[in-house]
Amino acid sequence: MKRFVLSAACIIAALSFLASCQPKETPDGKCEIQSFVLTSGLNSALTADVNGIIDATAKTITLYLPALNTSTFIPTFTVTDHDVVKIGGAVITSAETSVAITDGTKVSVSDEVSALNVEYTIAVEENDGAAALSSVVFKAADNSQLLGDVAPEVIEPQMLVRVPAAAFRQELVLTVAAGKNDAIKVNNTAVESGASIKVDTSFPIDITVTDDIAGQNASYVLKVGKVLGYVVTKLGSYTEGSISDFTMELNPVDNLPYFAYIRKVGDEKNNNISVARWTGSGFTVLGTSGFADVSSRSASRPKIAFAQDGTTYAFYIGGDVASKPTVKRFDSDWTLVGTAGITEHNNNSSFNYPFFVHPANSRPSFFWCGNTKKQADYRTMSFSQFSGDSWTSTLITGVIPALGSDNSNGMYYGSSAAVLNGKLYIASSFNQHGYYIHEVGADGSLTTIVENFVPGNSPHGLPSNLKLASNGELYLLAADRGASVMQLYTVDIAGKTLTAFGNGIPVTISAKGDVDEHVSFSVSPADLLVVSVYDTADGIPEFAYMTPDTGYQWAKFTVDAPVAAKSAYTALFDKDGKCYVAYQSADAIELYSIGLEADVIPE
Amino acid sequence: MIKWNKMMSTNRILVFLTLAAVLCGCRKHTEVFFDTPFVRIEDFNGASTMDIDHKLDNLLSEIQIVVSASGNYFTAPIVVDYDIIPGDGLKEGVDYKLQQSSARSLTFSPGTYRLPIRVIWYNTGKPDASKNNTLTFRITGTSVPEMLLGLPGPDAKKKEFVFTKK
Repeated sequence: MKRFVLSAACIIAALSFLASCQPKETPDGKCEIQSFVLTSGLNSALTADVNGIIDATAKTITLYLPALNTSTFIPTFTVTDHDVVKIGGAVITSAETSVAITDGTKVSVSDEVSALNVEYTIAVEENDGAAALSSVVFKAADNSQLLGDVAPEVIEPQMLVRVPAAAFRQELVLTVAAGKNDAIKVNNTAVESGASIKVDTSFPIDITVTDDIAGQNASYVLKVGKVLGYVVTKLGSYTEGSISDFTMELNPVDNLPYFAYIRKVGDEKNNNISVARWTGSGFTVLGTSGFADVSSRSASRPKIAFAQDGTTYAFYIGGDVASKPTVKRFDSDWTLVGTAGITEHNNNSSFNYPFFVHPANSRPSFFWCGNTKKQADYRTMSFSQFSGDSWTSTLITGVIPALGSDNSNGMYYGSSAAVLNGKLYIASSFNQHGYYIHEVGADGSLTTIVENFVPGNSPHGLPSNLKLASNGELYLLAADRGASVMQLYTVDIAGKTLTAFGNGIPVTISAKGDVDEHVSFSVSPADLLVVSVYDTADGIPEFAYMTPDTGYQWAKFTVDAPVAAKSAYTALFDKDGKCYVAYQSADAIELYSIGLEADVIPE
Repeated sequence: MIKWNKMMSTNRILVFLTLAAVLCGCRKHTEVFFDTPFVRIEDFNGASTMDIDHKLDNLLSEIQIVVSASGNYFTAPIVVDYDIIPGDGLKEGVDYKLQQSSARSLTFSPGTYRLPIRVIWYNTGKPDASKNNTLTFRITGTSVPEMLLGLPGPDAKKKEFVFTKK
């Protein structure tokens, strides 16, 4: 018996030893579902596999299912080592067990070799039934070349975005997102919705979205172009003998610049007036070259104006008619409008007085200032207009400063005119007064918009470079004598105020109160681009611009070897947003254009 | 009587022939559908060659691989393999650049029948005429065993596309 007990104890000990020698299960320290799919192969109700979207943090499995008559499925899943999966307390086996799956179903997972366990909640959502891209964006956070996120305005089959030059044709990180259950491919590479992928933007980017559940797919092509910048292009130089002064205006019909200028050809004794137009590729003289009467004295102060139908008028001060203005109209050649020497007395031609065709009645008109002492119009603003039969002149009073007893204070210095919404406005300067802005009635009557505006600590305004322009709003360029700058202002017509816009352009105020440099500007009708051209110390013009991109601070264009300037600049935007800039060099008119650089997009 | 018998005989022959014709027409007719899958490579004009002007810089050219496969074959994504064969006169990264997705096999998801291959060409001066200045894309196989490479027919046209830089 004792021997039996001993033998039994040995056997038990041996078995215990052998049992303890069997390999032990090593915990992997994890307990989680790695994939959860309802395959169409195991679930006949489905036309395509439905991949569950596992949120490991929220412990949810989202299934986008089509509308079905069943909620019983055979799920195919993978879990970490030694994990047992149960639904409703019953163990389920991947790709074998049929189980009810509805919104809110709990899936528990427990690790057999550790105490780890976890519970997932299934969220069942109805598939959207469409394959569609919901978002496509180059995020600034992912792309250092970008100043802000860049995304197409609308998601559509063909999309175009523009990036700054630094990012153009570069490899950028693209983030895409699509609808429920949509599989996204970018350039034939699968990308999770909401995820990113590097793309070479030299090429169009192909994006496909497929919703197998819905049996839908969609294709997109995204092209990445460059944010176009403005560039200055020399168009040409024009001369006719020698040219000593000019003005430029745009014809509203052909949208091209025309020039009225003083020229002297060969051994001609007196300066005469011609008009030439830029054809788009060259210059051509309009009608007779030298059409003013200059048998005894030169003509001066050429100006040009257009009616809305393109009828062209030229204005000049005729030496042969006692320095009074004459206007001619171009039909097949230049014909006199009314009489030569329109005004009763001669003009003070030292400053710029506007000549225009009034938009309200299509009549050629001009403001002027008499220069005959002891006459009512002496140094005072007057308005002349051609009625169709004759010229009438009106003295302006009441809404402008009165001429002082010294015949100096209040002297009319000049104006610049601009049309806004069919209405004509002028900005004017009067000696020892601030700036005035008036609306000009059809008969030349003035309605005050801004009265006696004195910039900053300036004692008064100055006539130099005064310029009014419009592009849906009214802008004024005027000298701020106190700050020694040419300052741009926005004109609030309803509020009757001027507000400084951007930085001023530094200029030199001479001892006698003039601005030494020539400055002009124009505002694009297409956007808020403001172009200014002005002198530098050596007479070389500087082309500058302001845009929202520059924070409305002046930035400079690069211009290849511009010819030195001799006199005033003119800058004008055409209706398409192309800016023409002209100035006079030694003997010629120099013409430049400022427009968007040529577009290059990958196609 | 003899005449009548002859008529009867003729009528019987006519009836017999009519019945025979009807019976022949009732034989089972088997419809034959063309369901051969094939894949081709071409430009958007359907051409198989394209000359590249060496003076043009950053020129983007685009051709496409097109699969023709019915639902019988297009139940799963179709992978199309092709070789890219530059001649000894061209160098990738210098004379041309391939879009990354064009530098490998293309996978067509069901419902997608055309995928682009894009090449950007650079101006590197006039090509050396003594060298082979072609870039050839040649389809070499697909994941569908039955799929013909190129158009059906003995010449298997559009199995390859050839760029020539001139």
